[in-house]
Amino acid sequence: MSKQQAPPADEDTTTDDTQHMTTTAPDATDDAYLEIDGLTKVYDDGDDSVVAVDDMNIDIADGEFLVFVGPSGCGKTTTLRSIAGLEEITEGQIVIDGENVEGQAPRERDVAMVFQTYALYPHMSVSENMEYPLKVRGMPKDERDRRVRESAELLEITELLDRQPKDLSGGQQQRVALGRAIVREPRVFLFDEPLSNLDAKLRVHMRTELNRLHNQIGKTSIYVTHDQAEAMTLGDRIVVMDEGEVQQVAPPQQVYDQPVNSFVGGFIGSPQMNFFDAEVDVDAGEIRTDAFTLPYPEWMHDRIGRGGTFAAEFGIRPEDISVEGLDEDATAEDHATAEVVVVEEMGSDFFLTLENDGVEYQAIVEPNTNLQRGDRISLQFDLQKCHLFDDDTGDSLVYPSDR
Amino acid sequence: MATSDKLIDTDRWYRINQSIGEFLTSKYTVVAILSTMVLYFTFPIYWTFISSLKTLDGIHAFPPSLVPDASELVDPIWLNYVHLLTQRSFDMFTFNSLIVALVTTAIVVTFGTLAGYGFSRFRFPYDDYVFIGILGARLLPPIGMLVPFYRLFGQLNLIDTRIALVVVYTYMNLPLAIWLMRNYFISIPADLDEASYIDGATRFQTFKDVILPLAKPGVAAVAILTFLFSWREFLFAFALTFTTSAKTIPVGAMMMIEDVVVLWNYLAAGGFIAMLPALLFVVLFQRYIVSGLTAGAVKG
Repeated sequence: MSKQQAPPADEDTTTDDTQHMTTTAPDATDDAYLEIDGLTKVYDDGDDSVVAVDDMNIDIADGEFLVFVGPSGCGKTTTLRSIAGLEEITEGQIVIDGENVEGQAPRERDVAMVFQTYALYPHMSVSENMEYPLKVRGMPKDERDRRVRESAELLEITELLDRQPKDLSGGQQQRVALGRAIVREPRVFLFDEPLSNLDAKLRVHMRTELNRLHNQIGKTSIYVTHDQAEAMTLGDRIVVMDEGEVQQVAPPQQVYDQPVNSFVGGFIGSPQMNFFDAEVDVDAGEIRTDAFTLPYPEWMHDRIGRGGTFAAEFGIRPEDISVEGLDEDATAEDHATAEVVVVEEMGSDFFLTLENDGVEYQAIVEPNTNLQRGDRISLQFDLQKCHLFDDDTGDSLVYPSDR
Repeated sequence: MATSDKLIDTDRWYRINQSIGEFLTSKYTVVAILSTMVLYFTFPIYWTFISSLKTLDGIHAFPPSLVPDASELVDPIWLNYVHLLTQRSFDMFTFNSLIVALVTTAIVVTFGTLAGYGFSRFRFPYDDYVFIGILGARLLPPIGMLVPFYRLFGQLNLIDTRIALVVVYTYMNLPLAIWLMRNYFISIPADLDEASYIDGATRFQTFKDVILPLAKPGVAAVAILTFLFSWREFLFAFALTFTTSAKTIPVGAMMMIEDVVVLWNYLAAGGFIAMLPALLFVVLFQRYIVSGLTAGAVKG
């Protein structure tokens, strides 16, 4: 069900961490390569303080591709910048390869970062851009040339090496920015929304490229994005953040299938999960919403274990609602009827906006040209894939967080 | 009926407006206006130049001729310049002007660039007040500082030295330099600094390798403005220098205004020498000056 974590890279990129194991890192787990322990960042400009990141704890394995995703202002970029050493953290510590990097300047941390704006040096040619990190480290010229050539070949930008950044397209600039990071063979790659300045088609292409590159290079990578499609496709694990707090850390499919709270459920997935105010009547075995009444499935009862009647938020993804037919007299228990308000024909599927007793929700269904606005249809809900969230806290009642 | 009259009226106005617009943007009008402006700005230079080649009698000739007659000119044609340089110590004045302007420019560019970078990238307590304070120093009328400076240099035994002029000119140019460079650096994205830090550069390497090369137009603008200011400054040079050891060209030129006679031809020759670097800079670096001065005004 869940995607396996990427195995650590072997061959020449293997790092020898035995020499570091004795230093610092009080509670280092066996395979943690990068540890974030109690990271807190408060922006304080005198009278007004904002908590950007609140007590974050994450262990990242060697070679793992970890994606931070969340709405803007959720603290994901601050986290990345803290790891890079561009921000001073307020509390907690960051340990890379057994070494506490507190107080270290970015250059001492040996991490590479790809910026959203690419941040190529405009006055240097492509090869000079890629060479710069090696140059400031005092690497001899022939070694620099060799590394630049190798990275350029890997990224298929060899023919661009003599060009100036301003003469390159956005996608090419992106590749050069990647090249400048790769050429260093750093301990960790950091990506700050690297694809968001590209047009949609190129973005998808570069996403695939990044996946391929990561498989080839196998270095620990941390990637920040607000785009859930990037998060789902790139990450070995996803960290969903909101308002400075980690909501869930899990492999992408698990985040999708088993969101630990209604924020994660709503944020991951497009169109987003439908939410309904519901009342669960355990004795009658029913979940009642304003729009429909569904049977309370056994597996949910097993997990929740509560009796009596309680209020909750019912969630179901649009693709877990299917059309049973144009039907007026549906009677089966897990059936509901609704009126079709909008039909959006997406080619491979149809997005339907449905209405039932004043409640609107969405469904993704098989293409069916018979469906028309104003039709009354009967629906089937996949009760294996629905969710119940706590009315107050939004925490999932069926997939409790282990955090 | 009334409506159609109105329609015709509107149509006529439209056509008149259009023809006015066409007239104003036509090639001939534009060329005529620009030529007038060019003439307005270049004629004094021309007049100074031909005056510097004339005899005193030639200058006083009435009506003045736009293209001087051979009888009005000195012979050989560079005689006035030779006279100034050999008999009137203009070789020393030029040397003094050059030294003072170059040293001032070197100091102002160095500190203006570093301070401007600091103000553009780093926050420190009361940084805004410090910045306004620096700029404010420049807003005081210079003549108000003449006496304090004179007293100060008197105490320090620096009257009639080039050092005194360098100090004054640095004081007067550094604030503007800091302001210009700060604005220029702000127009360079901070992402580049951060990319450089992460690439492994120190702060100074970042400044030297990445930021400064991108700020060249700003540096050039500051250098040119400072050099020209120091080269042609008159008030403080007149008050603080007395002998050929420190006098600059403008003060030297003023010596041509004597008790009973104004030696217009020498004055013009001195004036033309004073103009030379400005002409040179404008011809060679005009693009830098414009882009340097407009940095921060337009994103780019």
